Amino acid sequence: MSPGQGVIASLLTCLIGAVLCGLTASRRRLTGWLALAVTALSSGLALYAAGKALALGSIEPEMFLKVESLGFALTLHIDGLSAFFILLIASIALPAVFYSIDYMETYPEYGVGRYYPVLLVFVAALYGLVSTTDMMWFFFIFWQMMTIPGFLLIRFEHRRAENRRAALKFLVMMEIACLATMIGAEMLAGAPADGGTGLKYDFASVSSRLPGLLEQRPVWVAVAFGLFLTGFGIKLGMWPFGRVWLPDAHPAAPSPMSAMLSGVMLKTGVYGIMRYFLWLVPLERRAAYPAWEWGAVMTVLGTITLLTGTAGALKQEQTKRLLAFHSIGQLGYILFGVGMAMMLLGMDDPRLEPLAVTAFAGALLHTLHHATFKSLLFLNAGSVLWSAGTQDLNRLGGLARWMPWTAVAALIASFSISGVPGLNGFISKWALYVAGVEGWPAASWLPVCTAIAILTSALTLASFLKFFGAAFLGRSSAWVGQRGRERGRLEVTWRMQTAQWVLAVICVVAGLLPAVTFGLVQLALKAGHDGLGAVFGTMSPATPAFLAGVRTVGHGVVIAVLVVLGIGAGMAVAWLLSRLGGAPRRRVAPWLCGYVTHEDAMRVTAHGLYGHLKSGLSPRGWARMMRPPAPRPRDRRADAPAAGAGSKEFGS
Amino acid sequence: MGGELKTIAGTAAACVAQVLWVLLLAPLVEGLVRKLTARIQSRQGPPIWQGWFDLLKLLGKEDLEAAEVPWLPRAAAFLSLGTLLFMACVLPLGAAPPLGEQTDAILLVHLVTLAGLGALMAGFGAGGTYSLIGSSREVMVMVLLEPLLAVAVVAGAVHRNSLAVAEAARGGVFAAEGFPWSGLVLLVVILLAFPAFVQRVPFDVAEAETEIMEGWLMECSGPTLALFKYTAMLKLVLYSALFVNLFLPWGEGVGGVGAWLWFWVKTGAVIALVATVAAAHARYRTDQAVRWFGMMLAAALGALWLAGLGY
Amino acid sequence: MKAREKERTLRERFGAAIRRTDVTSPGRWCLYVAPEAIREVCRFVFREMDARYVISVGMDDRPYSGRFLVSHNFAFDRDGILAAFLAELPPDRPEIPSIAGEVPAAGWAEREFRDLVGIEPKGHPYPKRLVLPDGWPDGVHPLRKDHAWNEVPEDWDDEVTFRFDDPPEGCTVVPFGPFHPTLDEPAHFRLYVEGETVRGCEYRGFMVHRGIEKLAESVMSYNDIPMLAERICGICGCVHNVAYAQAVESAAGIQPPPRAEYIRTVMLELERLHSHLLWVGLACHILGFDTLFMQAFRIREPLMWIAEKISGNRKTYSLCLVGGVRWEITPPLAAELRGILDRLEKEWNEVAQAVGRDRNIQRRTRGVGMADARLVKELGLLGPVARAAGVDIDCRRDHPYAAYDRVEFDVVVELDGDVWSRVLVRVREVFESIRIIRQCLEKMEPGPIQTPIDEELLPGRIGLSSVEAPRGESHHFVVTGENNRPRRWRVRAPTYQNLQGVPAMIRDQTLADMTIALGSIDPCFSCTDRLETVDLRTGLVKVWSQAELEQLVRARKSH
Repeated sequence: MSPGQGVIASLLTCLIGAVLCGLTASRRRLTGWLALAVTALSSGLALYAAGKALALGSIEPEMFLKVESLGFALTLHIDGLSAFFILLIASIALPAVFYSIDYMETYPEYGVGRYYPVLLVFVAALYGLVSTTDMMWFFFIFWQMMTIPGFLLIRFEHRRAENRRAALKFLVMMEIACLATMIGAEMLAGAPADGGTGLKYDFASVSSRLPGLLEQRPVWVAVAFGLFLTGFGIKLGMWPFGRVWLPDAHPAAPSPMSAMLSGVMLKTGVYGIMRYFLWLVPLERRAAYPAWEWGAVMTVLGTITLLTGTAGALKQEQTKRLLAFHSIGQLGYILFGVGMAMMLLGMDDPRLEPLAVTAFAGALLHTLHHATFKSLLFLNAGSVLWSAGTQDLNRLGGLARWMPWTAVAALIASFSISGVPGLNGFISKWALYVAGVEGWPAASWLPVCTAIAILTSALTLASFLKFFGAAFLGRSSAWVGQRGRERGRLEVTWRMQTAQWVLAVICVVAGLLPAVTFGLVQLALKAGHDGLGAVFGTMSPATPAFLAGVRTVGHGVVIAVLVVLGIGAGMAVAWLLSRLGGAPRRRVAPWLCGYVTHEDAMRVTAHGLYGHLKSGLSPRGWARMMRPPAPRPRDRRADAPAAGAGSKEFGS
Repeated sequence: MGGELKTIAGTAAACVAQVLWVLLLAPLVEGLVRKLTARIQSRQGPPIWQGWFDLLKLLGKEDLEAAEVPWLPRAAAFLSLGTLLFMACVLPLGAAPPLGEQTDAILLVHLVTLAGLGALMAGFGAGGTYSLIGSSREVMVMVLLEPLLAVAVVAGAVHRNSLAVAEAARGGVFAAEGFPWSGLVLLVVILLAFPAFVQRVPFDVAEAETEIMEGWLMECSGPTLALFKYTAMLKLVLYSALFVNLFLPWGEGVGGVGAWLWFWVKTGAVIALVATVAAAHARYRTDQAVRWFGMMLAAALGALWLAGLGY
Repeated sequence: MKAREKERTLRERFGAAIRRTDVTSPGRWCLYVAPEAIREVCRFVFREMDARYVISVGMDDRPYSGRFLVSHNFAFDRDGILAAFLAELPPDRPEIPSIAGEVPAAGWAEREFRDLVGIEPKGHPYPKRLVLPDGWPDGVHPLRKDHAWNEVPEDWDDEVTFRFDDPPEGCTVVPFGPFHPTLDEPAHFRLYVEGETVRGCEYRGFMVHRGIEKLAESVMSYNDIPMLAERICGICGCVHNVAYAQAVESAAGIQPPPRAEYIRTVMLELERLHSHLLWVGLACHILGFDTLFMQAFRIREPLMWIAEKISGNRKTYSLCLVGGVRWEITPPLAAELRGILDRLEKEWNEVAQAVGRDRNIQRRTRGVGMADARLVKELGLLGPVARAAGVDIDCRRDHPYAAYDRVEFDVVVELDGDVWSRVLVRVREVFESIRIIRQCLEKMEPGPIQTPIDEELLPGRIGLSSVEAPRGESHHFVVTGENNRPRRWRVRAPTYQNLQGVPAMIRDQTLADMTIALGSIDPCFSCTDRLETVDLRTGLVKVWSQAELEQLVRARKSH
C-alpha cells in the first residue's frame, strides 16, 4: 500500500465509521467504543502511510480521481511535510476519541449521534486537507468537511445561546478564510499549460507558473500571497483575527473536541502557510521571490500574535477560555518561527541557512509539541469540568487533593507550555530563540522580537501558574469540597486518565530526548518535495550530539537529560539536607492572623491574581500606570493660619 | 572509552567541588551581609556565622504542613535549591564551569526562572491568603525580571555571535563593534533592578514582612523554610556572580588563582552594594515596582535593538 | 463669657428642651437637654456652631439620681470650651435618639454605651456589637452598677464567633491581625481586597479590653487611679495620667502649684518626643526602611534614660497625683536634659533633612491614606491626622492646661492630608517639643510640687479634661463620687476616633499602602481597649484556654 492509498484508506475508514456511528447512536457507550475502533484503525493506517512516506524519502504525487475539464483531481502528495502533519493528526485524534467515551457521559441531554459521526468526518477532512495538492476543488471540499463538522461540534450544546453564537462566528470566519485562500489560488492559477500534471489548480501547475508571474506581475502575486496569509492566518488565530473567533469557539465545544480544535485543526493553518509560502516557489527561482519581506511580515505578525494572545490569556478566569487564548499565543510562536525561517532564507547567505533550518525545525517542533501539551491541557480542563462541573477558575481550588493524577498531568502540560527545561515546550522554544538571537544579521530588530518571545514565555508561565494554582492548588474551595463530598471521589476514570497520560508521557519524552523529535523533523524535511522549502532538507539543522543533545551550528547546546539529571541531583542534595535534623511534621491550618478561621471568601481566586500586571498589559492600563498619581484636590481650610503651612522642608 | 569515563568522572568531581564551595560560602556571605547592614544601622549585629546557625536551627524544627498537599511545598523547596546547585555547575565562578560545554546562555535564563518557580509552587501550594498574595506579587516581578536578564544575555549573544555561556554571558554585552552603547544601557538597567533578583529591599515586594508577612514563604517552616533560606543565600551569591560575569568581566586575564580571587572580590563588591542599597531604601509598592521594571524592560529592549544594529 | 452666649443661642432655638446649664469654669460647660431633643441639639452644635465632636459617655446613675445618663461631649476649639451635653433617661427605658446619623463621629461611642451600659441608641445606622467579646451574652452590661467588677456571666460561650458582614462581589477577604507584624497590638481588620486593592474593611477590635474604667469605679481610690490610668498605654501613658488628674482637679476645683504644672509639661513633651521618634522609626519599618528605624531608636534612647533618671522608669512615669506631681526635676537633671535636647535637635535635623530629600519615602507616602478636612470634621479625627489635613487644632493651645499657656510654640499644620503630611507634622513637632521643654526649664521657679488636699471631694461634680497626646487629644471625663473614688470615669484616647477614619483612608488603596496608612494614625489599640494584654500564651505544648486564663488571673487577684 502506497502512502497515498494509506491516507485514502484512513479517510474512508473515518467516513464509513461515521456512518456506522450514526446508526448506533442510540447506544452511547457502544458508539463510543465503535468510534474508538474506527479512529484506531484510521490512525493506524495514517501512521503507516506517514511512516512509509518518511521512510521512502521521496514520493511522487498519486492521482485517484480526475475531471480534467474542471481542473479537478484528487491528487495526494504525501511528502515529508504532509506526513508530519498526518502523524500529528493521527496521534492526537486517538487519545481524544478515547477520552470522549467517558467524557460524553456528562451530556446526558445531548445525543452522541451528533458527536462521534461528526468528529470522524472532521478527522477525515483533516487528513485530506494536509495531503491534497488541489488548491481549489478538493481544498474546498476538505475545508468544508472540516468547517461544517467543526461548526456542529462547537454548537454541540446547542441549547446555550453563547455556544450557538460562537459556532456561527467560527463558521463565518472559516468561510471567509476559505474564500480568501481560494481567490488567492484562482489568481495564481492559469491555463494548464506549462508542465505539471496538466491540471489548472494543481499545486505543481501553480508552482511552475509562479516564476513567470513573479517577474511580470509581482504585485498581483503579492496580493495572492496576502490572501493566503489572511486565509490561513484566520485559521491559525493570527492577530488580529484570532481574537474574533478562537476564544469563543474552543470553550464552547466538548473538551476532547476543544483538544482537537486547538491541537490539530489550527495546525492546518500552519500547514497551509508553510506549504504555500515555502513550497510554491521553485527552489531554482528563489531570487525573484521576496522571501525576506514575507518573512518579516510573518515574524512581526507572529510576535504581535504571541504577545497579545498570551496577554489576553492573563485576564481570563475560565479554564478553557484561558487555554484558547494561549492557543493564539502559541500559534504566534509557530508563525514567528516560520517567518524567521523565511527571512533568513531570503538573506540568501549560506551562513544563515542553517539558522533558517533551525527556525523552521523549531516551528515544526512547536507545532508537534503544542499539539501534545495543548490537547492535554484541554483534556485536563475537560476532566476538571467533568469532575467539578465548572470552568470558572474562581470557584475551583484545591483539586490536587481530589484528583492527584490529573493534577500531575496538568502540571506537566502547564510546565511544558511555559517552556520549563526538561519538557518538550522548552525544546522547540529554545530552537526558536537560538534562531532569533543568532539570526540578527537578517534584521536588527529580530533579537528584540525574540526577547518579546521570551517575555511572553514568562507571561505564559504566569498564566499557567494561575490556571494550575487556582484550579489544583490552594485550599479546596467550598464548591469543590461540596462536590467532592457529594460524589465521594472526583478523580476521572482510567480511560480518561490513560488518554491524558499518553499525551503527558509524550511531553516528557520529547522534552528529555529531543533528538528523537528532531530526527523526525529532519526526516520530514529531507522527504519534502520540490520547492523553496526543499532547501531545508539539504542541510542538517541540528545534529543530535549524543543520546539527547541538541546542538545548533556550534552556537549553543542544551543536553536536556543532563539538565534534568543535574537538577535532580541538586534536589537530592536538598532532600538530604532537609532530613538532616530529623524534623517532625505536623498538619496545621494556614495562618490567618490568629482570630478568624478559614472561610471560602479568603481564597485568593484567579480574579485576584496579578492585578497590576493585568492592568499594565492593556494599553489604557499601561498609560494609567505610567502617569504619576494625580494629586487629590486639597481641602484648604479658609481660616488655616500661616503658621507652618506651606513649607515643605524641615530643619530651618 | 576509558578516557571518556575519566572525563565524565572529572566533570562530576568538579561539579561536586563547585557545589560544595557555594554551599559553604553562601551562609557565610549572609552573615557578612547582616554584619554590614548592622553596622550601617549603628547596631552590633549577629556573629558572622549566624547564617549557619539559622539554617541548623531550622533544619531541626518542626515542619508545619499548611498545604492540603503537603509534599508539594517541600518538593518545590527541593526544586529551588536543586536548580541553584545545578546553576553553580553551569555558571563560571572565577574559572570555567564544569558543565559549560553542555549548556548555553538561554538555559541559564531558564534556570533563574526555574529557581523562582519553586518559590511560586510553594506559595500556591500552601494556599494561605497571604502566601497567595505573595505569590501573585512574585509572579508579577518575575515576569518582568526574567526577560530583563534574557535581554542582557541575548545582547551578549548578538555581539559575540554565540550563545555559549562563556561567550554570551561573559562580558558579551560590551563586545560591540563600535562604542558599547547597548552594554552600558543594559548595565545600568540591570543594576537598577538587581535587588529584585536577590529579593532585597527596595524590591522585596513578594515577601514584604510588614505588609504580607513574608508572602509566599509564610507557610513554610522547619526544613522547608531552611531550604528556602538557603536558596535565598545562594541566590545572593550566584546572581551576584552572574552579574559580575555579565557586566564586570575585566581583570581576569591572568588566569589561575589570581583570577579566581579577583572574581570573588568583584562578586563581594556587588553583594556589598546590594546590602548598602537595601539599607538605604524603603520598599517600593508593588505597582511602583512593576512600573519600574516595565520601564527598565522597555529600555533594555531598546538597548537590544541597538545591539542588533551593532552598537 | 462665650459659654453663656452659646447657651443663649441654644435656648432661643430649642426653648424648654434646654433644661439647665452649669458653667463650672471658664472653659467647662455642662448643659442638660431633654432626651428627645438631644439629636437636634447635637446636630445644631456640630453643624451650625461648628463644634468638634469629642465623645459620648453612657452612665448608670441609678444608685444616685435614679436615672441613666448620657453625655455627648463637644469641644469649641476657637473659644476654648469643652462642653458636655447631658440627657437624663428613665431607669426602666434606657433609650436615647442616636446622633450618629447626624454626627458620624459618634458611631463607635454610641455602640460602646449600647454594649457596656445597655443604653439603646435609637436609630443608630450600624448598631453592631463593638466592645464586648464574642462569647459575651446579649443583655448583660458590665458597666451597670449592679454588675460586679469581677463577674463573668454564667452563659459565656467560648464557641461563639463574631458575625462579619459579607464581602462585596469579587473581593477576597484578607484577615489582617490581631497577630500581624505591622500591628504591635491586637486588632482585627477584615479587609476586602480585589487584586491588591483594598475595597473596604470591617474592624473588630477591643480584643484586650481590660475593664479599666470599671475597675477604677469599683475598687480604686482617686490617687490610685493615676497609676492605673497611665497603664492604659505603653507609649502615651503619662498623657492619661495627667489627663485623669486634671479631670479630677477640674471637677473639684483644685489648682496644682505652678512648678508641678511645668514638670507636667516637661514630662508630657518628653513623652511626645519619644513617641514621635518611635513613630518615625516604626513608619520606616513598615515601609521596609529599617536603617532609619534603627537610627530613630538610637536617637530616642537618651530620652528614655533621662526619663528613667527623673521618674525611675523609662516609661510609665507614675508622675501625677491629684493636685500635683510626684517627681522633682532637680538642677543637675535639668542640665542633663538640656544637653540631651541639644544633641537630639542636631541629630533630628539630620534625620529631617534626610527624610525631606528622600524621594523613595515620598513616593510611598504622597497621596496615600488621604483624610481631608471634611473627613476630619465628620469623624472627629485628631492630632497629626487632623493637622496634616489643614485642620488647625491642638489642645495645648486651644484648651490650655499645665503650663502650656506660659510657653511659646507653633502648631504645625500641613495641607495635603496624606501620610506624607503626617510625617512632616510629626517630624516638625519634635522641634516644637524641644522648644517647649527648653522654655519650661528656663521658666520653672522653685516651689512646692503638690497642693495639699484636706477635705473629701464633693460627689456628683463633672470634670472634663483634654490633653494633647502625641496622637491627638486624649479626653477624660470624670464624675466625682463617694468612697474616695469617681462614679464614672471615661477615657477617650485619640486612636478611638482616628481608627474610625481608617476605613475611609484605606479605601481603594493598595494593600501595601494600607499598612502605612494605618500606621500613619499611630494607632494605639490598647489605649482604645483600656485593658490588660493577656495573650494566648503558648507554653511548651499547651495552649491556654480562655477559662484557664481567667482562672489564672482570678487566682492572682485573690492573693
